[in-house]
Amino acid sequence: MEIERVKEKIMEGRPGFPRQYGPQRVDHQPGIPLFPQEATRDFVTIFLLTAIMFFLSAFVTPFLGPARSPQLSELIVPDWYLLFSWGLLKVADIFPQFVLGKGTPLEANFNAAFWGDLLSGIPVIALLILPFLDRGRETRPAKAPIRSAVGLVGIASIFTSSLYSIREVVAQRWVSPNGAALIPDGTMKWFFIIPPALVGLTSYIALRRLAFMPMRRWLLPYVAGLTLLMAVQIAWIFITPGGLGAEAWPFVLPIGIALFILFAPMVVTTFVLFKQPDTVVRKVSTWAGGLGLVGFIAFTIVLPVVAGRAALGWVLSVLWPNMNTLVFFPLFGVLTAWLGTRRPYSTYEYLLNECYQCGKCHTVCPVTKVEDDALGGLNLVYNSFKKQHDGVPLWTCLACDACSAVCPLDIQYSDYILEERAKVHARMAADGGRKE
Amino acid sequence: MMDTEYGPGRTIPHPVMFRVLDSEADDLTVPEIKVEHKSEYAYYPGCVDYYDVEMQFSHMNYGDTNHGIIFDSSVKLLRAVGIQPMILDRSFMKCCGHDQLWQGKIDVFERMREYNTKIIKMLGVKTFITSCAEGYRTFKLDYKLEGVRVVHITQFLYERGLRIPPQPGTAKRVRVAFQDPCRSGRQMPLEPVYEEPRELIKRVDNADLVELKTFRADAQCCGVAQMMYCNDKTKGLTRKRMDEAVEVEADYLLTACPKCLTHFGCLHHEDKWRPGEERYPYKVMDITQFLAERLPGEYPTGSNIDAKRKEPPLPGRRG
Amino acid sequence: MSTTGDIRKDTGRSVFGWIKSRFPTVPYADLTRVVLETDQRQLPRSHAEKYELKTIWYWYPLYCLGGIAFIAFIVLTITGILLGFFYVPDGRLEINASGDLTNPAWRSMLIIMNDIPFGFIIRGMHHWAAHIMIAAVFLHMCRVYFTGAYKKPRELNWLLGVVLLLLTLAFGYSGYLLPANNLSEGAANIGINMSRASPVIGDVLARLLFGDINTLSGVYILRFYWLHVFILPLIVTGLIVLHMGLVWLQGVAEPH
Repeated sequence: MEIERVKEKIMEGRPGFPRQYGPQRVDHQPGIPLFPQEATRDFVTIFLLTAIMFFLSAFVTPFLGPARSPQLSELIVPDWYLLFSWGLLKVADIFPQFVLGKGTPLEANFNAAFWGDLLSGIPVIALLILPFLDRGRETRPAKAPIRSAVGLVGIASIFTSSLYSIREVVAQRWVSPNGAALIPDGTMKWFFIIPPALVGLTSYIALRRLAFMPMRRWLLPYVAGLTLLMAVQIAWIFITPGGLGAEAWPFVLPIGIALFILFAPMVVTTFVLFKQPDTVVRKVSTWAGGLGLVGFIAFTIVLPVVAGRAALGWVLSVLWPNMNTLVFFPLFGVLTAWLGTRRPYSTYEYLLNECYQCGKCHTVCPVTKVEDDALGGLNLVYNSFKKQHDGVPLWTCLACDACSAVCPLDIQYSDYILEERAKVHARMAADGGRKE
Repeated sequence: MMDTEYGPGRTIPHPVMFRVLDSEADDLTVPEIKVEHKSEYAYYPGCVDYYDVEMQFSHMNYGDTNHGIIFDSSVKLLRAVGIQPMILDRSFMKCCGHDQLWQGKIDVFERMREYNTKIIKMLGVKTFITSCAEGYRTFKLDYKLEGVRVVHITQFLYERGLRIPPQPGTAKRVRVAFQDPCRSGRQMPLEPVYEEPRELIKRVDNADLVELKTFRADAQCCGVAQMMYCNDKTKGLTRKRMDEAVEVEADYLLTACPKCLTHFGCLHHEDKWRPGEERYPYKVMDITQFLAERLPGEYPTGSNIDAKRKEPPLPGRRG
Repeated sequence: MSTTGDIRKDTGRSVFGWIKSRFPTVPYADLTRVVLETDQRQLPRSHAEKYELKTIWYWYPLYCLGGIAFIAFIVLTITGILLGFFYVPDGRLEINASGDLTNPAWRSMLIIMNDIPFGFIIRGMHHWAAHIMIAAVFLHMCRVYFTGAYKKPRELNWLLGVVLLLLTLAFGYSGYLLPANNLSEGAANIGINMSRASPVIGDVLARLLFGDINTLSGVYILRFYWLHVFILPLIVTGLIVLHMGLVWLQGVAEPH
C-alpha cells in the first residue's frame, strides 16, 4: 500500500490527544476494534498466563508423598487458602466450653471446634452483608478511608490468622537458647488483634492525609499512646521478678541496646509531634525510622559476630515474645507519623478528581461566551483540569469563581488556577529566568 | 496599540503600572510611623490612586471615572457613623498583592503580605475596613491576620447603622443597580457581602434598587480580574454586564470594588467615542461615592473632584 | 457441471446443499457472512475513554483479575477432564505385595505422574491453575471491595461473587482431598471434626458431606470426587456465566 494509505490507516484514526474542543467535536474515536486489536491483546494475556502455568508445572512438581495412613503422625499443613479458617479453629480454645442439654437428644457440645466453626463464619457473613451496610455513593478508595482501612484490617487479619494456624511449625523452627519457643502461643494469639488494629489506624490516617487534612489530632494520641505502652512494656520486663530470666541477665547490655534502638525512634517522633510543624515531623520521622530500621538490622548482624550466637538468641528471647509491643509499635508508630504529615503531591488534583463532568461550570463560565476556539466556546474548565491546554485557558480564566459557585461538588476551581499559575512562575524562575 | 471600534484598545495590562506595583516588594524595611490618634479601626483604601493615574491622567484613557473619591467618601461615611479610623494609605502600606497572587507571582505577594502584616500588627489594629472587594478577600482569606476582623466598608456601615437623611423633595426617583463583585460574593462563601450594600441603597429614600439579570452569587464577572488581559474579549464581557444594566433601565450602576469601577468606567467612556450613540445612559460609580454624595456635609479629607470641571472632557481629544 | 461462482446458487449440488435441503440453514448461514465482517466492529468505549477523563491509571491492570480467574477455570476444566480419564476414586485401604499401605486412588495418581505421557505436566497444570484461580478470585474480590464496585446496582453480583469464592475454596479443598495421601487424610479429619462440631446435626452433616464420621473407610474420597467432578463444576459454571452476564448487562464499574 502506498505510504499515504498506511499513514491514514494507522496514524489518523487513532484515539489520542483531541485537537478539537467544544460540543461540536467530530473527531470522536469510536473505540478499539474487537479484531484484531482487542483479540490480540486478550490472546497475549492468556498465552502469558498459560506459559506461566506450564513453566511452574515443569519445574515445581506438586507433592504426592506416601499413601494415606490413618495413624498419621506428621504435621500436615492444608493449602494456604484455608489456613485462615484453621487458625480461627485453633484460636477458638480461648472461648468458654460447655455442654448444653447433656443426655437429651438435643445435646449440644459447645466445644472448641464449634466456636471455631462459628468464627470461620464471621468473615463470610461480613462479606455477604457488606453491600447492605455500606450504601454510600463514594467509590474511590482514597476518598473512602474507613472502607479502605477496614478492608486492610480484614486482609491483615486473614494473614495473621493463617500465620497462627502454623503455630506449631513456627514454634518448632524458632527456639530460644533455653529451648522455649521464640514466639510463644500467647504472643501469636495477640497477632489476631494488634497488627490488624495497627494496620487499620495507620491506613486510615494515611488516607485522610491524602486530602491534606491536618491529622495531628489523630496522630498525637496514637503515637504518644503507642510510645507509652511500649515504655510500660519495657519497664514490665525489667521490673517484674522473672520478667527477665536469670539466664538472660548476663546479656542485659545487648538487650538494652536492642531496646534502645527500637524505643528511641518512637520517643523522638512523639517529642516532635507535640510542637513542631509537619515538615519537621516528616524529616525527623524519616530519619528516625530509617536509622532505627538500619540500626536494628545491623545490630542483628553485628551482635553474633561480636558476642556469639547465643547472645542474639537471648536478645531475641526477650524481644520476640513481646513482638506486638516492642516491634510492631515502633514500626507502625514511626510509619504513621511519616504518612500523616507528608505533603501529598498535588492536593488540588486529588480534589479535582471529585469532578463527574456534569458541565455546569462550562455553561456558566463568562469567558466561554466571548472567547472562540475551534468550535465555539473555549472550554476552560475541562481543558485546564485535564491539562490539555496550550496555556490559553489557564491565563484567560478570570478567576471569577462563577464555576465554583455552580459546581454541585463545590470544587473551588479558582484555587486550581492559582496553584497552576504559581507553578508556571516557579518554573520560569527555576529555568534560570529571572524571578518575576 | 490596536484600534478597536471603540477607540484605542489595549491587549495587555499596562506593564508600567504593574512593574511599579511589583517593585514595591523589593524594599521591605518597615518605616517609622507616627500615628496622630490611635484607633482600633483602620481603613485601607488600596490602590485607588494608581487607577486614577491610569484612568484620568494617562494619555491612553481619560474620562470621569474617579477612584480617588472612593477614599474621600469612605472616610466621610466612617466619620458619619462616629469612627475616626487610622488611615493606612499608600505612603507606608504596600499594595495588598491580590493581582500578583492571581497572576502567579507568589513570592512577590508573600513579600508584600509579610510587610503589610507587620504594619497591621504593629499598629494594633482590631478591625480592618476596606472599600475594595479584592482587598476584602485578600486580607480575609489570603492574609492570615489573627485577632483582626476584616470587614468590607458596606458591612461595617450597615452594622453601625448608617442612616441617610431624606433627600430633598426635588430629587427624582432613581433606579439603582448593584454589581456584586465576585471577590466579595462568590469567593467568600462564609461571609459574603450581598445584603449589606443593598440595604444601604434602600436607605436612600429616592433610590429604587433594581436587580440585574444575574445577581448575588450568579452575578456575572465585570470582565477583567487581576488585570490579566484587556482586550476585545474581556471588553465583550464588560459590555454584556453593562447591557444588563441597560435592560433594567438603571440610572446608576454601583459597585463595591474599585476594579469593577475601572472596567465599567473604561468602557463607559470609550463608548462616548460615538457621540449620539449613548449606549450607557447611566452613571457608573462606587457605592461609597453614591452614599457620601447623599450625606450632608463636606468631605473631611477634601475631595478630588475639580469643582471647575463640570463635565467630562469631550470625546475626540487624543491625549 | 457448470458453476456460477455464487455460493448460494452453487450449493444445491454440494455438501452444503445436502444439508440445506434438509435443515433450515438460511438465514443462519447468512449470519456467518455478517460475523466475518466484524473486522471493523468496535468495542464500546468505557466512560473514561469516551469522555477522555483523567483517570488513576494504576487501578486499570487490576481489572484483568476476574478474567484471569476465568481462564484458570478453563484450564482447570480441560486438565481436569484429562486427569479424569485416569483417576480412580476409590480410597479403601489395601496392603500391596511388599506390605505397604496403599489405596487405588493413590495408585492411580502414581500412574498419572509416572506412566502416563505428560501426566505430570497435566497434574502440575491442574495444581497450579487451581492456586492461580484461588489467588485471582481473592484478589479480584479485594479489587472490587476497594473500588467500591459492590455498591448499588451491583449488590447481587457481589453476593454471587462471594458465593463463587466459597465454592472456589470448596473446589480447592475437595481437590486436594482426592490424591488420598496424608495431606488428604489430615484435611479430611479436620473437615469431619468441624462438621461434627455443629450442635445436634453434627454427625448427620459429617455423613452427608464425607460419607462417614471418620476417615477410616475411605468413603470420603468417592464423595468428594463426585462433588469435585460433577456437582461443583455444574453449579460453578452456571454461576460464572451468570456473574459475567451481570457484568455484561450492568457494565464494568470503572475506577474513577
